[in-house]
Amino acid sequence: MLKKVMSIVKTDLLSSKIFVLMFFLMFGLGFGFLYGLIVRFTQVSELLYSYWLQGAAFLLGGLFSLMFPFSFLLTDKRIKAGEMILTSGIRPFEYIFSKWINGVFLGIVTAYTYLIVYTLLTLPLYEQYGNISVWLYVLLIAIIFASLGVTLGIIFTKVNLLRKILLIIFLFVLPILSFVLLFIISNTGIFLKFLIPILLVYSLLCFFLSVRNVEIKDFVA
Amino acid sequence: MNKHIDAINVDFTYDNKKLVLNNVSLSTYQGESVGLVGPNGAGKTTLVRVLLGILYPKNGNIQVFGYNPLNKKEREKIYGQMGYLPEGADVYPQLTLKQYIELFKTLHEVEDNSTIEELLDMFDLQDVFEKRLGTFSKGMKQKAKLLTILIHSPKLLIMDEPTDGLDIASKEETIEYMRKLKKKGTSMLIATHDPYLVENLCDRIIMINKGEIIFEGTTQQLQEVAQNEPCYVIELMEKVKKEKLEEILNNIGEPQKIIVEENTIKIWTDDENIAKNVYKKVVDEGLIVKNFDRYLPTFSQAYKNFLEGK
Repeated sequence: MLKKVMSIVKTDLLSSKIFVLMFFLMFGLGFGFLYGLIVRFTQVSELLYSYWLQGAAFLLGGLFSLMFPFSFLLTDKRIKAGEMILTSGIRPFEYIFSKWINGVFLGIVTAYTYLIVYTLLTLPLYEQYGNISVWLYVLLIAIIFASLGVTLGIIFTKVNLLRKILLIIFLFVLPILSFVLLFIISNTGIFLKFLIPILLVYSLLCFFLSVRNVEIKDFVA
Repeated sequence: MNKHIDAINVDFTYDNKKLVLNNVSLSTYQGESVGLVGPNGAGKTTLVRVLLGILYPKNGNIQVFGYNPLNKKEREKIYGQMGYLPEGADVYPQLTLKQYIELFKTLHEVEDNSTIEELLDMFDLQDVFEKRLGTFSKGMKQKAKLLTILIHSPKLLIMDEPTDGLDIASKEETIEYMRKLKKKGTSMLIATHDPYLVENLCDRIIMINKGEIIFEGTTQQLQEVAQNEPCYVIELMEKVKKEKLEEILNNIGEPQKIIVEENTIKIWTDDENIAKNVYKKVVDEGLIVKNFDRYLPTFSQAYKNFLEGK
């Protein structure tokens, strides 16, 4: 089973390598470098700057985790590859799981790469690497967003327009509120300590609820 | 012979209002190829998806290899033994053919490369093995997809428009390969609009229209049924002047219609003896007859006639 799942993961990565690279460079330059430089040359403390970079890396990792599984599911449905793959004997859950793994993988790789690149810009961030929580948060954020990405993909492939709108609103209410809260309280530490576990439980719940009743027909155009 | 697909009284609806499939029953047997034909929107693709357990029927019983495709656990046993080509499926443009094959090789748990090599040779894809699928023509993509459903030598092939985009030579090679598979016991259900494929591969056809099976039999049976009036054709070895033939054919019986062309005479009549009289008279006049037989329309004509008559 794992071999089949990993072959789908590999296929998705190979088939999207150009997009991954394009988004990686685009967002990396946009967020981390250009916007990062603006922050750098304003009057902020080194610590706040390091938090900003860390947050940007987490956000970009999360974005990759969200975007790619969702896009893989929709592309497979559009080109009927999902129909061919699912009638080769792989179960719908295993198929979705492969997309989830992909999201987590891409999120982790993206976030860590950005962290490493940004570390070169500021020393306090480098010091934070000694702290295990940075590594853990990257993993958790990737899991959260990959779960939300897969859920979003299933919503898009499965339900009608009205339910789609309602479900998407419902799905993103909590994460958006969390980010609003983050900006209000302006304390990344609290956000990471409390909200990440809450979002993790929430996203995994969404993931398992959406995966529970998936059928092959949901991935057939 | 073993039944591979057995569907009994299948009804299907998308919206609980109109039946897309109405009381459809069909069977396919080991080593048999069945063509599923019918106009656009007749319900062919829906039927294929219902038989695969992708769509759930409203009523009816379906068994594939004796397993129920609607049961998730039993479905896995079916999928392991079959190959399915959906209509209009596309390939991942960024993948090379090698990577694309690798995916399905792993999914179908194929260890041996001999079938893959044979298929690559047959489809003439050896030279593009390392090339990206995005650079392939429509026909080459179709070959690549066909290849992936054949790599595990399936016992059952369900294909929706398998020859879409293939040139004549590729079609012939594909048909030849399918015939070999049939001899080995593979059964096939082929939803198609391609008369060449039907005439050259299908042992039997099932014609479906508005969700109902309207004909089931061989292509020849369809050609016989679809001919409104019986017609006989006398084919001559050499060209003869039309006027001469018309003179010969004066004063014979009363066929509904005789059409005389340079070296053929078509006789529409219910009475076979009248056709035989014409044949005798032509032979008596010293003309050499190449062929005298019941005239049947081509499969395409028969298909059209039959649908128009319904």
